Amino acid sequence: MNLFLEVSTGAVRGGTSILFAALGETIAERAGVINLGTEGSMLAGCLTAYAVTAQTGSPWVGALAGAIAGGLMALVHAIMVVRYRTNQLATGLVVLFLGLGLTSLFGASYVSEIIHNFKTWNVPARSRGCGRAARRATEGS
Amino acid sequence: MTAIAPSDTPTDITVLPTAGRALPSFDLASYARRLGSWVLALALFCALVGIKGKNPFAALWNMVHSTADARSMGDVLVRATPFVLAGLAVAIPARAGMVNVGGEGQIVVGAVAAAGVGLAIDQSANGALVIVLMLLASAVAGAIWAGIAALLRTALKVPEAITTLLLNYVAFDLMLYLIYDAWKDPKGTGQPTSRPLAKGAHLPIIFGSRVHLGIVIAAVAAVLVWLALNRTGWGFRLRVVGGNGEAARRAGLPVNRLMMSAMAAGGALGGIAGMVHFAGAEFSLRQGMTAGFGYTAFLASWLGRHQPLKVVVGSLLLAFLAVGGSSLQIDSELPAATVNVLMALVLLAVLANTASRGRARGATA
Repeated sequence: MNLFLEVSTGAVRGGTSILFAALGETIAERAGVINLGTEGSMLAGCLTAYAVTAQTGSPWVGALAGAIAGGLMALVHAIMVVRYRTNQLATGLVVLFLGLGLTSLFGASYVSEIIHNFKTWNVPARSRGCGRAARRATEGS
Repeated sequence: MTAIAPSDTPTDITVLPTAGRALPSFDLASYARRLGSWVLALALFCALVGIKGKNPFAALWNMVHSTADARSMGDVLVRATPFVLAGLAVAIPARAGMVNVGGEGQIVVGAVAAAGVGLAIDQSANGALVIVLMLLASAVAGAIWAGIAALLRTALKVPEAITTLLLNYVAFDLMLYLIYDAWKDPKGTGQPTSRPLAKGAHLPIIFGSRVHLGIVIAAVAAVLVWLALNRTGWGFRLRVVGGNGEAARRAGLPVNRLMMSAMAAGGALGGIAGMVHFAGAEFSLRQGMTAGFGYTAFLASWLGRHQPLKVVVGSLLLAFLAVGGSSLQIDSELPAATVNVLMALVLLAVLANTASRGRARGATA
């Protein structure tokens, strides 16, 4: 039972961010676009959310900024693929590398800075057992 | 016999251009647009570095300057070697209209197979024999790895772009399993690695202190692939399949078998890329040894528009950026990964150029 709890709490904690990315990718797939640059969006979102949270002190403003940054990265992909009809996979990989580069260029100055994270949310039914279960994956972790 | 063509653009069969490729145009406007997009990419990079408060021109100059000595040139060649081989692994299936994003996995299984053979016999057998056997093993392993994706595509219509990508993770875990368990170096400390390959089985050094035989293997492979794609019936048939699969089927071509062969040939080259990196540069398996080479090679192939000899040029350019990137850290105090920004911007420019010329045809491959 303990192992089950450990695994499922880990799955919720680690899977939350992937769920967001997967949902976003689903939207793109509906339009017939495969976006391998999703990770680039995630990276840009991570850094922006972290930086904005560090500046404003509010994780919600940070999350919003992160969403905008992720959207902008996907916009690069969208413009290339839709407007210039470039190959979707190649462009997606390029956006991923762009995200890697941009976050290392601008992220270095935020290393070891501490920010406010989202409050831990206890699952009502089993709050004692699953205290950590629903801890949201915060952007900066 | 056939005369040697001036370029690798086979003008005699342009009725069946590969997807996304238009007739070559030599008008001034297209050159101006191409130049403009490169300038734009560089300007954007300079602006970003400028925002960061560093002198972008000094950074670029240092990057070029730092690679201007023989040692760094050697590093560029060493780095370009797996790019060329894994880039060709993308270019061949691309002729048949297939997408191989599995270079990374093929490199890993190639390195694993080479290590399997190499570490088993490197103490007893002759070095040259070990190298030949490692080459064969890695080629077979890579071909099988890509073949899985090709089989799924031809038998079940599962898109190979997805399966090759996902198989990368499987390959990676396979290697981790081996180096954490069966092949773990008992003398190793820290991160688990395999035992290092015996000196005699290393690829021989041919230039300077680091450049190994791999670059020759890569160059020979590029020429052979060029010949195979442009001067053989097989290459022509691949192009037909890539141009219009349905038409190829109606014309009686064995489309499935051609697709399988293209993927297998590509996978074999990807595997050899892994072997060359293992036996030429790393000498032991370790986590992260491939460092995204497969993905960079995928982009190198796009940079060269899937034409073997241009893939070599693309690989050299990306290898130059990768090696020059360390200068950003040393000389300009920027994170080394910053070079990814430059690489991405240049590639976006190239992609947009390639595609906007094929735009009228609406080809997205």
